[in-house]
Amino acid sequence: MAIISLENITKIYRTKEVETVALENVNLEVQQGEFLSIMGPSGCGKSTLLNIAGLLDQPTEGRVILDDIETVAMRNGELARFRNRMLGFVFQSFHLVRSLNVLDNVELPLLYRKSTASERRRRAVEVLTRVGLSHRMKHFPSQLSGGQCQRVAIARALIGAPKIILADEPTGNLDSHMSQEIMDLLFDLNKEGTTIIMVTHDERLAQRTQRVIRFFDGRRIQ
Amino acid sequence: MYRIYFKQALQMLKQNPFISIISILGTALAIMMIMTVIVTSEIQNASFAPEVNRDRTLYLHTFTTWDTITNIQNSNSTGIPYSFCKDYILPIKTPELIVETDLCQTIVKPEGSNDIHLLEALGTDADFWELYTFTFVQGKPYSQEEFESGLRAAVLRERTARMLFKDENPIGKSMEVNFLPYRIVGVVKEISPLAKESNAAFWIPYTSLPQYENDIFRIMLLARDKSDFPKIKQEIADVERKYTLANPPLVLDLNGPLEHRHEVLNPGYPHKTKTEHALRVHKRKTVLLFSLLLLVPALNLSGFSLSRLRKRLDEIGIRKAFGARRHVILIHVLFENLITTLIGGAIGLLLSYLAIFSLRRWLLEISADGTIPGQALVSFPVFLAVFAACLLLNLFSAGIPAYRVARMPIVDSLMQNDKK
Ligand SMILES: Nc1ncnc2c1ncn2[C@@H]1O[C@H](COP(=O)(O)OP(=O)(O)OP(=O)(O)O)[C@@H](O)[C@H]1O
Ligand SMILES: [Mg+2]
Repeated sequence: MAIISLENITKIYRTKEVETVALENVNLEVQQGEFLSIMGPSGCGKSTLLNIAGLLDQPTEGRVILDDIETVAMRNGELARFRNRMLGFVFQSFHLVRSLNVLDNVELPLLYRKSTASERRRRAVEVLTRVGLSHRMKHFPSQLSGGQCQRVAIARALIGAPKIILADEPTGNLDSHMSQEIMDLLFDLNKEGTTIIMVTHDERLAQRTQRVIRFFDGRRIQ
Repeated sequence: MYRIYFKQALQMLKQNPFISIISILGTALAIMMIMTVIVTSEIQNASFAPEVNRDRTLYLHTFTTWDTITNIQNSNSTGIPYSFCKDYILPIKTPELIVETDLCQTIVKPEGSNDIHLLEALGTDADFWELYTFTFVQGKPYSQEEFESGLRAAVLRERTARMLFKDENPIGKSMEVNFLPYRIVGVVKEISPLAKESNAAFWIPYTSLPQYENDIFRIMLLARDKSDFPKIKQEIADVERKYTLANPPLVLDLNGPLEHRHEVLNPGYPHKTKTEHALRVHKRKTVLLFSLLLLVPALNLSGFSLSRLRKRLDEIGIRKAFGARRHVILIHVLFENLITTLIGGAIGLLLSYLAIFSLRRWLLEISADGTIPGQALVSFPVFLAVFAACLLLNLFSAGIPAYRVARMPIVDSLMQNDKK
């Protein structure tokens, strides 16, 4: 069963001067439990596709169906709820909140659904232990290494138990040793049934995933 | 949830000390200006010795008649004729006290001296000494019987006593007031120039004045309780109607009674309609003043809010990505800002106390030893005013920036910080 289904996705960025076709008529189906990597040269539309699949951005044309639910017509509030329940995000530049400590950063997604403080705390400790950072819970992001930051980000993506994790170059800012750690974490998650789509420039990392698709200039070429 | 917001807000203040201090100080100065204005006017209305009953007092001093046939208008806004007071005002039952005063210019010559002084005397009844609580340094006030008998007695304030009798004990001595002999029966402690209704160089029973029946009087109606005000006002309205019915073709307008906070604003118009209009204009001016006092700093502070928020666009993007809805972001940002504003507000209130104390001579015309009534400074209405001012300042300064960042598309918020 396809958990993600993108149909005829076109994304055009219009500014006053230029029109950029970031994606042109892209189709993609991702099965539940799959680990998929997306590759392609810079500017070919990988992030754009991931953002559309993650309901962070809207396609100019086409349909986005997640877990059998048509999302294009959804209103902002519904989209927010859907993201909160279904999706976890990991970014190249971590996007941790500077003014929150590790625990509070990880708890963030649970703030936006019904939950008690003790429940949030319990879940946060659980996922932080899982990514191996239970000893850094009171630290602030500025006191952590890049790899640790990304593990915090993964814990944050994980805490809401999403069905899908979308990772945009999660190892882009990390050395190869740390990259390995992050990949191992993602593989573990995938084994437990989480569907993962990852954008990467690293051919070797991509080869370890179940399926690689390639883009060129806004079009899917493989 | 608000606990985490609170924690984060404090952490942000710690992480950006410079910008935090600047914006807290900006808020503090804005609140200081506003509170200085509020507390200053609060003091004008506060009760303090000897005018301790200002909040229960109603004032009457205008007598305007309009002849409906000749269209001639006769008006005096400084006093009400004696006979009218006696026939129409004194019989009113609801007030606890009805006090009449008659301010007059006098030529005073103290016993055993040829010096002549021009002084303001206040002719009063005996109830005057009950309505206003003077501190007697020597002697005592004239009694009801003495008042009724028209006894020529005088109570001096300390300054007058010194001026007339130097270091001698004035009690029992006499002085000529407009060429009639008066005996000094009491000396009272100096009073603040802010006590405008009770002020004079000395006080005498108005019944001792020749032809006082032809004079005009200011009237103070002391209510047992503020809740009696509507009843008393109604009684005065009835008096107007009764007089108008009894004296055709005249129509009477007493332009009152006014409460103290309105009385201090009344420039002395002859008509109700004019006074009411003046009060409305004053209200509008006040609203305008406060809007300016709030908006100008708010505009400045909103620059700070926006620049602080710009640095956190990716945080807002992330929050929305993980399911925060726009209004949640909006509330979050406003709540955070309110914490800074309240810190600034508390500092601002303290600064305004400081300003009022050090500038009291200029702001309040209170002499250096004059005390400022405490209940005008530290009171629930004052704190409420600070909180309201903070809330508005917060809304004005952070509202638009917060709205803008809350509405920004997620992808854009996330990208802005990547570029830096
Ligand atoms: N907000 C935007 N406004 C205008 N053009 C945009 C915007 N976002 C992306 N683009 C354009 O769309 C195209 C695809 O961008 P996208 O970020 O998806 O590329 P990418 O494959 O992720 O590249 P990279 O590997 O460098 O991250 C690019 O040409 C880019 O300039
Ligand atoms: Mg990209």
